[in-house]
Amino acid sequence: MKEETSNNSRRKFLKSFGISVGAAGVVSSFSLIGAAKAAAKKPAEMVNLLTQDGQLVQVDKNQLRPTVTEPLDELQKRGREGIPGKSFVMVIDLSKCRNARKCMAACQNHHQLRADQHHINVLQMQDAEHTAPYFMPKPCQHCDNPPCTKVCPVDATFKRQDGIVLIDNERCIGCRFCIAACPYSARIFQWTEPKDSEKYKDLTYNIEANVPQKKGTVSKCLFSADRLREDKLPSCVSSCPNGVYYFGDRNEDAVTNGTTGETVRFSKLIEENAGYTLMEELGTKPRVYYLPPKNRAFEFNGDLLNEENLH
Amino acid sequence: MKNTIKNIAALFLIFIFSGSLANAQGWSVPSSAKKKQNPYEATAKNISSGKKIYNLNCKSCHGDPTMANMLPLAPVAPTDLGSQNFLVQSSDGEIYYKVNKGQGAMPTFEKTLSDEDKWMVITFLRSFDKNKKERQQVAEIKNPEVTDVKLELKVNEAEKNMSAKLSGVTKTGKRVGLQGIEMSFLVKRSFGFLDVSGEDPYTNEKGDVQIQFPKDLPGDREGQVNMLVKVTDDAFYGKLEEARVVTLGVPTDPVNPLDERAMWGTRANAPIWIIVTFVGGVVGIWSVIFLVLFQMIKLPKLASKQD
Amino acid sequence: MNDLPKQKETTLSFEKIKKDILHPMQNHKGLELWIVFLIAVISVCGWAYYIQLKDGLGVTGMRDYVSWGLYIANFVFFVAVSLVGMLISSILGLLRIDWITPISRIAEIIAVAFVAVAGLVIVLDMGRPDRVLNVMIHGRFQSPILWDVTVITTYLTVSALLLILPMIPDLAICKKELTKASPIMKKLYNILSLGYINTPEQHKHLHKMIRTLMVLIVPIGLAIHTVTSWLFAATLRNGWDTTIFGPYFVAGAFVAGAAALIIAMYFFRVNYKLQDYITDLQFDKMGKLLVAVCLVYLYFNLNEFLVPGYKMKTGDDVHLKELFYGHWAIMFWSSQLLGNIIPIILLVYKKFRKPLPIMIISLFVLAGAWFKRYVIVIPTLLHPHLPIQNVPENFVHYYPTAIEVSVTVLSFALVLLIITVLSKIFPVVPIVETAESKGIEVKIDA
Repeated sequence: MKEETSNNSRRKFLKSFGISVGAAGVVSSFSLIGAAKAAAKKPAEMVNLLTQDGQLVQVDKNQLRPTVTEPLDELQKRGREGIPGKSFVMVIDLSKCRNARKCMAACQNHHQLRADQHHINVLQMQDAEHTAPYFMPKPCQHCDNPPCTKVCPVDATFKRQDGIVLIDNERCIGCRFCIAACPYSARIFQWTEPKDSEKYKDLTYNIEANVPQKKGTVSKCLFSADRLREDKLPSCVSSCPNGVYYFGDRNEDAVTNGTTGETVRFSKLIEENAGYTLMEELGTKPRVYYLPPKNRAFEFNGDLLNEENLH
Repeated sequence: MKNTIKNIAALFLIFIFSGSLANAQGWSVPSSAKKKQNPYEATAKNISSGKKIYNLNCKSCHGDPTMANMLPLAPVAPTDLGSQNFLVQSSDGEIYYKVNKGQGAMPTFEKTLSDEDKWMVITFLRSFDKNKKERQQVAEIKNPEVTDVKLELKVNEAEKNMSAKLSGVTKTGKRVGLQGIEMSFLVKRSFGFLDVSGEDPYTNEKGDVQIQFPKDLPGDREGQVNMLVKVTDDAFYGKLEEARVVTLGVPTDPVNPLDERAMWGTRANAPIWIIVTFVGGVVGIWSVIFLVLFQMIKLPKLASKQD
Repeated sequence: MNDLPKQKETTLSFEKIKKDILHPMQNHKGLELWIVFLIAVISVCGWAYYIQLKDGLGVTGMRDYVSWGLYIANFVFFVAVSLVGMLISSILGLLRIDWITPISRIAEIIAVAFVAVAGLVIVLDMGRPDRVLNVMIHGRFQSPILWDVTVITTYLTVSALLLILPMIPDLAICKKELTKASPIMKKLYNILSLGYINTPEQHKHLHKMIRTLMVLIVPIGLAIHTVTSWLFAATLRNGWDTTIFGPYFVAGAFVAGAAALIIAMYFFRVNYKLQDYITDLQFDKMGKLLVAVCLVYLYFNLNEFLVPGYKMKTGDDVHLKELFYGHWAIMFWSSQLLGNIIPIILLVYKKFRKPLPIMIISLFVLAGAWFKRYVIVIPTLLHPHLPIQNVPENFVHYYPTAIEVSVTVLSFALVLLIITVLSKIFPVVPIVETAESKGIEVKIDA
């Protein structure tokens, strides 16, 4: 029992640490410098850090150095070009989604969003009166015929070679035409000062995570393009506890489940489960595929909007 | 006689204990369900496939068996399914029932896992049961004790197949094939490894195993893919794997969607006709405007002409 | 005060025309007060815009779903009204319809004022107005916004030219006659009149240029409204995703523009005492024109709502039901009935085409046109394809805030200010053209 509680607290710590690291995306450099300076005066103090492979390690605080961030120009250039040879796709298995909303939380964390701002939103759907209701996570569909980039007057939102539709909030003029054009309601606008904007104001803008967010500009799901560059799955995909998400490269015909880590053939997955795309009649050619909510592993229990009903 | 009484007493105690625990967690398993027997034997093969299924479907919450690294969910944390406590308390039938029905945060797997899969998981879990270790040992295929275990790969690009040979040196100094060991043939993809081992990736009596590489799996421009071949379970001979670039994939030239001009493209990729229309329209109309303005300058001169 | 019992057969001389038209420009006490009032309104509402600039668009009622609100509806309305310049002075002018002579300048003034402020309203709606130049620097040819910005600028330029060029003879008169004008104004008249003394060569040359511009403004005028309609029609939303939006908007613009012109005509007639120039005939003809454009607009409305209403396609059904008998029914039906159908019926009768009744009817038509834009823009955004969930309560509705209303009032005040100032410094009725049309000899001294 004791072991379990200590384990608990370790998890919690990891979680909260993950939040602060994840939230910064590129670790808030100025705060780390400050921390390092403060620590220099004190005798060796150890801090716990989470390494990339998930190990918790102790490091002398004096040893901490801020993450080297690329200059803005470099980030913008590579962010606009994309990753050559890739063609990212997502598969969402509706039969597994039970509205845990870990994806939404992880996403908001990663992209510095408030709780009511959604790059990905889990919707309760019912297609027609007598059809079965189901939960549908809805990220940006990263369409191959994107209605949003068509209407952008300044190339602020654009599609790159790996298929991801990005938004450049260094250029966005805030006309919100893309929001009007998107049939999936996948875009949000920073109506007021974004969350923690004071805290992140000195961060170099990273177009691939669209952080820090800027007031008066549009924001949207980016498939966590900054994580993809490090061969990591998008935040939502890897945070799902129920195995809902598969993500991968269509050129490789393989997608990896964010929960189980299992890699499967994309074409087989779609073929065997009758995968479809959302509102395909609009001709937007989405890159997000859905597997129908058939043989569900749980019972749809109606309105699950309050926390208690989640488990 | 004494033994029987002991056994019955023990069973009784276990029954009460497990019952109370089950109540505490809200599980109520009908006694008929508890009696259900696992129809599968605890062979190395079954345990291994059970492990795979476990890792895909159970590990995310329950963690690794015996490691107690489950997800810290509130109010009830998932049980460590490899703990002796759990294994003693639960009959195979009981676990099967729970997997089927689910409860609270635990989803039902009635439809998502086949019966065979579920029993395989139970077989795998049971392999951690110290009381049943002996039976498991019996079922295992015996290989001689060996050192210097080697993994050799052969690739037939024409037939698109691949074979691995697993061998070790016995005490007598003879290199022999190792039999009945499960191998994994994995293709590196962006975010993980795609298992192309097929149905029966176990070494034969010579230590050989051959797999058919999928005929339609894309490789890079030359059809190359990164392969990783390994002994699935590290428990036998430690970590044993071999990485190799093989030309078994379908040569794939990635299509760059930005190569074509499109309405959705950037300004640089705008369709020619729309650029021509816009620029033509603007230049045309504004030249008329400037022409008119220029002509207006002549107006004062025309007045003097009259004079 | 309003209408004279019968058109008095006054003998008009060139001197009288000059006097009648130029007099109110200099001797109108209330005008200064009116300008001060408008500037006060603009300053107060400017403060509202400052708050919006400082705190972000969050001070408006707009949120992620209704991301275009009052501002865009108002923008569309302003663009619509501005189309009157092209309708009156260009189309009818090219057709050599003579009754438009005294009102063509008012039409141009309205066009210039509304289109200039329409461009500004778009900037007021932007999240990052400081980056407005990005549209020039990074403009995408595929975006209707680049086209809109281009067309609005062009339309403003050509409208301004069509205001000034036909006015050159009048400005030459102003230069001579308005002795009390300030030195700046005198200089302005001097420059703009371009040494015009009405020689036959000058006359011919000038009118050639004017006719060129009249032809030029027809495609630009059509484009400005068609492109504005594409802001909506280029999307995949229920209610906007329709092919007739271009002509539908153009037809609606003629209605709004004609109504605005009638109202302006009435106020200039009364306040500037121009009963001899803007006569009952002009109101009568404008009334007939308004009926004609209203009928065209009604025809488009019929297509726009009856066809999808007949099919009730998924998505369209929710949208149309909300318009026909849901939340938007009152606004929808009053804009249709009070702003279109009833005016058509009334204006068929000659007595309603008298100045005062037609002005009142036009007020309804104009208000209806404004609410029609509102009903075009907002309900569609409230009915997206996917359900609106997991967002705060205020994302699901749209109610303009006080700030938004203030900024909209600002834009109206600015329009009125521009019209007032233009009508103060320029003669609102063409002096020379009026005289020429009545066969009175025109003399402009060098």
